Amino acid sequence: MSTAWDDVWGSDDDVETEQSPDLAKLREHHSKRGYLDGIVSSKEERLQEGFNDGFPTGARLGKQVGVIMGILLGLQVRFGDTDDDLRKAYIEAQKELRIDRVLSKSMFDSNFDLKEMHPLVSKWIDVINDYCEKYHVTPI
Amino acid sequence: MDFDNLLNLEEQYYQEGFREGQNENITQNFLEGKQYGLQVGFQRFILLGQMEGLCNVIESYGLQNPVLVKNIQTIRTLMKDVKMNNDDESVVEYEKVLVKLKNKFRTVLITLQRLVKNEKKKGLTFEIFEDVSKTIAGEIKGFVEDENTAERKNTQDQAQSW
Repeated sequence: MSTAWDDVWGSDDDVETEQSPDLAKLREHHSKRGYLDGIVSSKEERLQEGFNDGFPTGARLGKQVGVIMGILLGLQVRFGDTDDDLRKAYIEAQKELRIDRVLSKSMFDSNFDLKEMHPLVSKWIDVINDYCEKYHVTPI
Repeated sequence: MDFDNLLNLEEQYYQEGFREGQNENITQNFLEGKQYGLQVGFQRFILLGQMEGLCNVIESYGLQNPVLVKNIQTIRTLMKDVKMNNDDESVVEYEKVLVKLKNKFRTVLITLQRLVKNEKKKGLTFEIFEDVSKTIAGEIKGFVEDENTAERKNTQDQAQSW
């Protein structure tokens, strides 16, 4: 920020060389006002742009996690008391696929983009598809 | 210097500052918004996914009840129309379809309960179904519902104001 201010106040030499103190004051006042407004207006725009950019990826991940949990929940209700592994998988998935795990920084690159398939989601799709085969459910 | 010139100068200084301010924290703000977008997208679509997954399981029961079959079909068709972006029309459509989907799905679960009545087992209720997605999506911690109603409303308000 200090460099930005230096830039604003320090670039006087090329224009009016002998600026009156009044003019300097005027400049400081209005430029500062503009600067603060600029920060606010840009922040809102960038936040909105980022939001719209991230939303579809989040939606896709949420949907996938939902499908996984839906199948596990359904199978668990039906076969959970005879299939220990299934019951454990259901409990494990509830922990591993929580939003804070799935959307944690470590799952993305520095721009919050996915490099490839989401590691946790693709792991659980494999698990689920094995159960789908076992219990004759349409796989994901 | 006359009055007009003075006003122009004020405007010029203001614009200089404005441009300077606009260039602050661009990347940081964008990424902050993106993280929030990821979160809200996730929260809006987990329930739909869960419905889809459960429909797969329910179909695997092989029940030939025409009402059940028809309702599952309707759910799948409705789901195809939901777009996964944050455009205004998409959000309006999402809200509308979500209400229909929930109602249909509630009916599906009730029909299922009736068809596979089992006295030893607790069946799958809409509340259990909803709680799973709320837990995963961080809207409730554990299976307690009431204490987080306020928090959930907050997220929604914030999402709408964006």
